Amino acid sequence: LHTHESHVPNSDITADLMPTSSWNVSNELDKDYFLTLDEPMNNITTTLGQTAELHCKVSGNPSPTVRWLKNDAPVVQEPRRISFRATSYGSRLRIRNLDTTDTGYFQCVATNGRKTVSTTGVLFVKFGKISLSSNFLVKQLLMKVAR
Amino acid sequence: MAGMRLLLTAALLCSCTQLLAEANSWWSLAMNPVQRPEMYIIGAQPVCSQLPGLSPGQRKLCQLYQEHMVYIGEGAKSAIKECQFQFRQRRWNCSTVDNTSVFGRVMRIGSRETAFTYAVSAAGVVNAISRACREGELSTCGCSRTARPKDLPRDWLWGGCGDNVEYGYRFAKEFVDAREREKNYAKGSEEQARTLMNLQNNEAGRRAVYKLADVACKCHGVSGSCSLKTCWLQLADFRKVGDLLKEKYDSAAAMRISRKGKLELVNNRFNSPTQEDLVYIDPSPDYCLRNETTGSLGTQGRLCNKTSEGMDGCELMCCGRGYDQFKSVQVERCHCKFHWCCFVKCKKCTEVVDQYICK
Repeated sequence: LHTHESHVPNSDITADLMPTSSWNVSNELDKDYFLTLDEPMNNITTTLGQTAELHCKVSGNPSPTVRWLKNDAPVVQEPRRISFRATSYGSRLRIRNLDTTDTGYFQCVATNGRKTVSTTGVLFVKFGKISLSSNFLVKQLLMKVAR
Repeated sequence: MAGMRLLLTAALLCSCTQLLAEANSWWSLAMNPVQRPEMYIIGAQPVCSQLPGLSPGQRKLCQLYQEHMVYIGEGAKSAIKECQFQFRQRRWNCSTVDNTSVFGRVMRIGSRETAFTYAVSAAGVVNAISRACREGELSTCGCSRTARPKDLPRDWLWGGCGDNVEYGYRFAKEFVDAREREKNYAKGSEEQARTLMNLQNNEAGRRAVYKLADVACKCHGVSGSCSLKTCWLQLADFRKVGDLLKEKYDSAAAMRISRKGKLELVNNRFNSPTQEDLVYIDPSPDYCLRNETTGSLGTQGRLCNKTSEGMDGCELMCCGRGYDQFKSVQVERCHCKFHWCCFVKCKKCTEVVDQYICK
């Protein structure tokens, strides 16, 4: 969807990791320091019950830590359904047995001290059942009559 | 020195605007009707950016679930109505004060009353969304897919279109909790305590709707013989949800934040609250007098019951300030007669009643 890079990290965590005194000491390290977003996150449109994988492709030195957010709130892992883990390319979020309420803006925020990069992807889970076809409406009507 | 002062004023201004922004709530969807656009376009801005009171995460949810917003508004509306019914005879009577903060500053206090308000509004959303699913108003859900209850007699049919309370619960969790979940406060801080309190009370509200939803059946036999029965899951009347939450209000648990960042009982002789219970972290103000700081409206001008010794009695309601007596004329329909066919004719009776109003 969109990506942005910021040189002034807004989270406290990054500020803590970078004590000002280390600037001169780590000159050697500074040369190799980098953090880049290698690819914007993929968007996914799928249906109920499927599995979705969102990829956060970032690289950096030192290697970055990645946080996942859904609609601005941290993603909560659910056993056997929602999980994320570090990969060779960054981080991967996997959601199995998708539900329509899994629809959301998923953002990964990668940080390795001085810099923070983030990218956002949209996961859209459609309600798979013969979506609003005549069949569905007829069924609804019948039910209303039955009540 | 001047620079310092400037900085300080800037900081003060900043914190003030933040407080103001925090006062806004999605409850305002009840006050400002949500427009139903002709067509919903995912990610379309206008509707969502115009709605006041949404947090950043809720705004994103609005973009993705635009068609839900009308029902969230309806849910908030029925919650406010229920809150006002449950508290009609109490000093704090769930008054709405404006269109953005809705209940005003009193909600900044983490009191029992605040706990009830959060719970009942979360319940309102579950209720409205679950019903909208059943009525086929939303593209992301349909009839309830709850499995047939095991204790349902074997010859009864299961499969009517039920209220989708599972979806209502899940969606309300996403939407209502968003505001609390997107914050990141220091462990053990007052702000974290309030966030945890809100989350617990939201959950208690959602669970009340879930718990009270029950099987409803209809007979199909010849002249009501009930040889054939169809059953489905149906939401309880929202009044029952209000009653249950009012009970939870009466037995709400006083909590405080631990250093580890968890809510714990102030008095650990009591049982720990379950996920269905309400919790609070601050004592309630007495709500007797108008107070700009707490946001209490006071009870001056409220009707009271002269003969009651309860909360609605003049003694307690008026906080000992006394009351004024008024004679008011009430017009009622009386001596109604049925005329063939088919209307009812009534007379108008007037009665002079004594009314009492707090000083």
